Amino acid sequence: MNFNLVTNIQNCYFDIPTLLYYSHIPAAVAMFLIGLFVYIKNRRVLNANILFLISIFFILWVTSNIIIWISPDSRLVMFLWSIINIFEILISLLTFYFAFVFLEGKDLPKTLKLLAIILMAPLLIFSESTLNLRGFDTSICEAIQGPLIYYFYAFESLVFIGLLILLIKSIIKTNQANRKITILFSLGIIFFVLSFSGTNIIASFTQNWNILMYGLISAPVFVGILSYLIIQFQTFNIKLIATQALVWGLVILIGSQFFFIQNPTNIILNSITFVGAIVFGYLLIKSVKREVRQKEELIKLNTELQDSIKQRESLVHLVTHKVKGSFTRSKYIFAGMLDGSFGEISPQIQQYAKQGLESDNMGIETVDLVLNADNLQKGNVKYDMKIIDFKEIIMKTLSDKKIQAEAKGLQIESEIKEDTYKVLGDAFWLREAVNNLIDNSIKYTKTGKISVKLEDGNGKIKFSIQDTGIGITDEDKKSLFTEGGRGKDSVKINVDSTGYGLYSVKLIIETHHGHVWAESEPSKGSTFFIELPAAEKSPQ
Amino acid sequence: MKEIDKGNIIFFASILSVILIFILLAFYKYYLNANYLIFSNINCDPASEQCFVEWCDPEYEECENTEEDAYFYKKLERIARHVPLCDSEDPSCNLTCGPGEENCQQILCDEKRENLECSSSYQNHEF
Repeated sequence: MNFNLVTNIQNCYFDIPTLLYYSHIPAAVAMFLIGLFVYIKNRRVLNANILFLISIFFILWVTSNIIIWISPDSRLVMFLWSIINIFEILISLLTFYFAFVFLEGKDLPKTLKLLAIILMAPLLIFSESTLNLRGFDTSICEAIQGPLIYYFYAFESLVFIGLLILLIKSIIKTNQANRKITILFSLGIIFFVLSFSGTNIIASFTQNWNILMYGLISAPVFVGILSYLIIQFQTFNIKLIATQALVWGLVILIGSQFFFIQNPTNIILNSITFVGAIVFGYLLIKSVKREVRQKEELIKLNTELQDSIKQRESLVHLVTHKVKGSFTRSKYIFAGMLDGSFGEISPQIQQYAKQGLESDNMGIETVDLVLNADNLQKGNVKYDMKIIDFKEIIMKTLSDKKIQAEAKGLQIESEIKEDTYKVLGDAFWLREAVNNLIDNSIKYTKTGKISVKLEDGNGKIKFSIQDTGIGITDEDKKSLFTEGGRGKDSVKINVDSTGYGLYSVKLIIETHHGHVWAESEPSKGSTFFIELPAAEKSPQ
Repeated sequence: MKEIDKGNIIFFASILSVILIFILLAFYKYYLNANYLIFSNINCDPASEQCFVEWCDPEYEECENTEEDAYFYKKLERIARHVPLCDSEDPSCNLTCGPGEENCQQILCDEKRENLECSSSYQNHEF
């Protein structure tokens, strides 16, 4: 071979570390693919353009560095060495720009752009002077760097510090919902810039250029984090295609390394990596494909469900108000017939009027139950929380319900010790809850008795109501306290069951930090419990 | 997401144009014109010149620490485009500086200045 001191230098022929290709080419391809796909899908988005520029300068840097390593031509090495630091500082500056726009959601201020141009100018102006490169040393096949390199280090450090301040500020001021994205993004950026620029500075100082190869590993990590942000949070509007391109791009890349390597061990290692990349790439795409589709399907279903719920709520409100209005008008007509407002009526008509009035009252009660449950569920109810005596609520409700129970031939027993049962709560809604439970027991008990018990202890007040009714089957227990939950067997006894009574009880009691449950066996009756936290008794 | 505007496009285009100009200038200076200094170690005749000496180290190379295996060299600093494209090992390759040639010098060993062993004193070397 005809060696000379300029275009074909003998000392430039040395064993190139295999890691050079492994560290440089996948990093460049991964970065370029993500930059390109983000750009194609979001041409009008500023950050997509910045990311694309980063990926272009990254490829220029990687290509320059590989040529610097392998070329025996000092002219080419000098040319690329003189501009490689310009590419590097541009990558750092654009990364800062990218981070700023991503985190702040606005363009970089003009003052910062101007500052970057001013600081960048010396690197450009002196790039062809001996301040940048003093010459080429053929004995070590390297360019000899001039003092401008120290300015470059200082500039790089300044950009890194600026980036660090920007990221910390963003993490602090970001809200809880976006914190995960901000932290993840910041870690990716910091790792990328620190490894990429940091290793270059260390390599330059120590003259051990092998370190550079390890620094580039950060690029695929950065790309990985960006991909995750894209898929998980849809940071940019690209989906499955980007993942496929990234994975298969890497596979093609690893495959292409068969053209570079000649060592049998490296060929075996590359073959294993190649097959592994195909298998894992395929599995990854399959998994991402499924995840993306499921996510899209879920979003669609959720939107449809929300719309459907809104429509149903609106319909229920309309119907219940209309029905309640009709019941009320009809109720006053029957009441008027009974009190003689429409004149004398026959005993038979009077009987029909009584039945009509009773039916209207039940109808109004049912509508109120549904409306109350709906309001309670949506949190539309404003509770007037006060310290109240729960015993008074029980006694008053029992007294109100006594006639109804006795009319059905049921006996009501109560076991309430003389004490004060103070709770913090809304008297109206607690009475509603107790009323619903007692009403429920009366409706589902054909014969026998209803026993009410009130006790306290361990800072809790426990109310129970036991009946000798039909009991509840295991199947029906599942629908207890659920919205519109009506058991199959219970409907046979109470055809007017709405399934909203016990649901309202649950909502009311849970708002009072209490607990409601039932114990029952079929044909042996049921016991319903309400447990509420006792309010502290004031010293008497 | 912030959309790119006319101002951004002008900013990017201006910066990229300026950078492209400097890249082209660098390409012209370094690649086409080879206008930079080459620092090289070239063969030296210890019989007639004061040469730098690099003794062979048997620990790392297959050689004996003898005068025959020693490498005698002098340093060359010269603008790359003036360096003839011949093999510096070839005796017919003339690397001497042309008359009045700027930035060209062949540096011989000076024990006082370099604080090194030069060819004139290699007899003192412990074989």
